[in-house]
Amino acid sequence: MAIVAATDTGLTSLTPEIERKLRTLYLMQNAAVMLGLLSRCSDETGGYVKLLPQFQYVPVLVGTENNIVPLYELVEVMDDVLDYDEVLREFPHLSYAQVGGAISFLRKIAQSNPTNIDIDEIEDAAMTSDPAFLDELRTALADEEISRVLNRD
Amino acid sequence: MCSIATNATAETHLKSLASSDDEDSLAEKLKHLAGDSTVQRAGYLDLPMHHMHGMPSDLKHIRRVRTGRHRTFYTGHHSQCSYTVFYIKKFKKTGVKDELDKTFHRLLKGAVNDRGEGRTIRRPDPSSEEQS
Repeated sequence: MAIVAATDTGLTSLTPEIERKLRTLYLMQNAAVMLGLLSRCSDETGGYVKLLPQFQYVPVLVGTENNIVPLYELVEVMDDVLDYDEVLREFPHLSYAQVGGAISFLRKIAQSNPTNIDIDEIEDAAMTSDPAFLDELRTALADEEISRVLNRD
Repeated sequence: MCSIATNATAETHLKSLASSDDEDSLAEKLKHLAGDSTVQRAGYLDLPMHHMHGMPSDLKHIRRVRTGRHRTFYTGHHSQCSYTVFYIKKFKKTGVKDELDKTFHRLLKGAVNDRGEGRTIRRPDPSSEEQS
């Protein structure tokens, strides 16, 4: 009841203040549930995946000399080296897009963190606020010389 | 099944991936992902997740698909049944202090600087401050 006790009883209406505190509690509870889930997963899989406060609890691996590898980047590398054709031989009823979508899903899960930091949004923001990069994109976009139709290979 | 082509710039980028064996797998992946679309049906490359927020108006129509560590930029739509890859942003493959590491630190640093909203739950209660 500490939340109620700490509420300003001198206000005309308690409702806005209580609702604000409930929202805060809801966010805190969600963060704790998320961190608990990630922590259990880490514990049950040998603790190789770390949840470190200095990295906002985004799942990471700690390599030699304390080199950090975010789990989602490991998934990206797995996507690079994964032989989709081999996967589809195992699951012939699946499509390329489904396998790609599944990898994207795993990558997104690997970005989970209790404060809902959206790594992709930040990556996009870094790119869209880089004038040199945007100019590179404009130049590339203006290049209308079709070099190869990939489907015809 | 829709087609996908590369322009000369993207082709140069693709060729530069050849040393890491990523060229063929990326081209193969893009080919199959484009093949998921038809004129009648939107496919993987038409998903909203490939749109980039915050692009200037002249680049609003471009899209980006995350292909492993690389980011492939393209235009086109299933209704045209044709996509064109025009740029591939590459990330380094290996190395102790490689781009992945630096990117991650930069992203999180940016996130920390950007997280005013998320951090309010640990700040002192503004109403308590007002009362005191």
